[in-house]
Amino acid sequence: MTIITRPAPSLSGRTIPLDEIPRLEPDRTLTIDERLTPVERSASLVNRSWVLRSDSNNLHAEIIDGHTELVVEQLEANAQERAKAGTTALLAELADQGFAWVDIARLVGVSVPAIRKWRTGGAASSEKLLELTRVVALVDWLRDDKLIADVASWLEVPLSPSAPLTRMDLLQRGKHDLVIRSLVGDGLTPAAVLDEFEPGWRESYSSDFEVFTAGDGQRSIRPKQAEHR
Amino acid sequence: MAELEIPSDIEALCLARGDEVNPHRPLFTGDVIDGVTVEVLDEVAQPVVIVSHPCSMRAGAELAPLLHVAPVVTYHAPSTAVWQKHFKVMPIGAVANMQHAVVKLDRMTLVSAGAIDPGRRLYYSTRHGINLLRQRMVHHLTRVAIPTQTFDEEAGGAHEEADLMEDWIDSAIDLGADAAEVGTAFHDWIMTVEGGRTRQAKLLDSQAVPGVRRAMRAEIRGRYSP
Repeated sequence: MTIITRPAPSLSGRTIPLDEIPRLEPDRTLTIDERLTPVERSASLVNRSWVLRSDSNNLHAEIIDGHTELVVEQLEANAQERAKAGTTALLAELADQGFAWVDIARLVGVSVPAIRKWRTGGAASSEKLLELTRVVALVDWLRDDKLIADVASWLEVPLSPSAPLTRMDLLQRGKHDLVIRSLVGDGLTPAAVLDEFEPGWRESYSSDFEVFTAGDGQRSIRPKQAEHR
Repeated sequence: MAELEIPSDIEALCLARGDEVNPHRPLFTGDVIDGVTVEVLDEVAQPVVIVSHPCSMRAGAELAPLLHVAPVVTYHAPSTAVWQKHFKVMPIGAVANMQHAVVKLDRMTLVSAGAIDPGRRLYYSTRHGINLLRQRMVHHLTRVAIPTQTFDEEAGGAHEEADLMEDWIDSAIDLGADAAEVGTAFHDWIMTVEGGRTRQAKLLDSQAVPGVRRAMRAEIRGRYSP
């Protein structure tokens, strides 16, 4: 903040010693704010609060990013540890928690037939084994640290009724950090997660059709009723 | 969304082909089977794809007596023009010795289930591949473009059931069960009422599906483990 020094009292015609100058307000300075009108001061305070809020938000975001990075590092260390269990046991562990083979295959980046071979004793490459242990470490963290009782279900339920996108989709497209950040942060709503994951998702997945239960009890498709569009 | 969709990668349509095909997987929509003779299609044994609705494939544990199929033929590479203008075909990628195979949607017909030999399966489709096949088939017949997500929502339970049935049969046979009986055993189990609705009905609810998978694995262990 800039400090304005008030000028010394003006005494014309004679020089007087400094210590004789009357000092009505000794060491007194005026701030910019004190030179402002009330209206200007109010505007200045509003601006300053915006700056503070922006700084605070940036700091908050940096803290969340830092926290996310630390969790990712922790999960990487846990993944290395979990590799000791071996491919077959890790696959069985995920399946016992309700994961579909097709989802496990996509998370690891292999085909379903490859997973089938591993289940029956086939060897996974060290790179793919590490991918599998990363999935297991993440599931451990979601269940044990974030207290998500049914992780498979939590990952498979769509984030919004307006789009079929799930957290499983995020993970399958390598967005582990976004899933983690949505849990260590306190302001990332499911819609905000989708905005970051697939901007324009609302338009991409808008549909003029809907699924309904037909007279025979089976699901069918029909154009949306006007009020639902 | 009002246009037919284009897959980002044609390989995303194929779940397995050639020696990757699991003989224990139940026949399903999007499967390509070789050597099917279709009376109205030149009476030559040829590869066909099953295009019957996923929910209409079976009567109980058995295949329905008649299935809708369409021939699979070789074509040129699936350019954007093929996806956006060649509405009579559905590209499905490499099948057997065909580098760029397509389903001929304008030659759909019925065959007897007995004409289909599951042992001659060449290829089966991913869920996305089946949804895309259904989208193009409906469009070919009606000129109506329905988003694949809607097909997925409509038949999601049938897709889950096919995956569960494959897993049940695979696991049970690995544990020494009689292959001739495991299909019926699965059907009886999935149709059992639990908590007011059948397990099959629970598959319509994405939140409940992992619970059905867990219950099935426990059931297989309890029923077939020595």
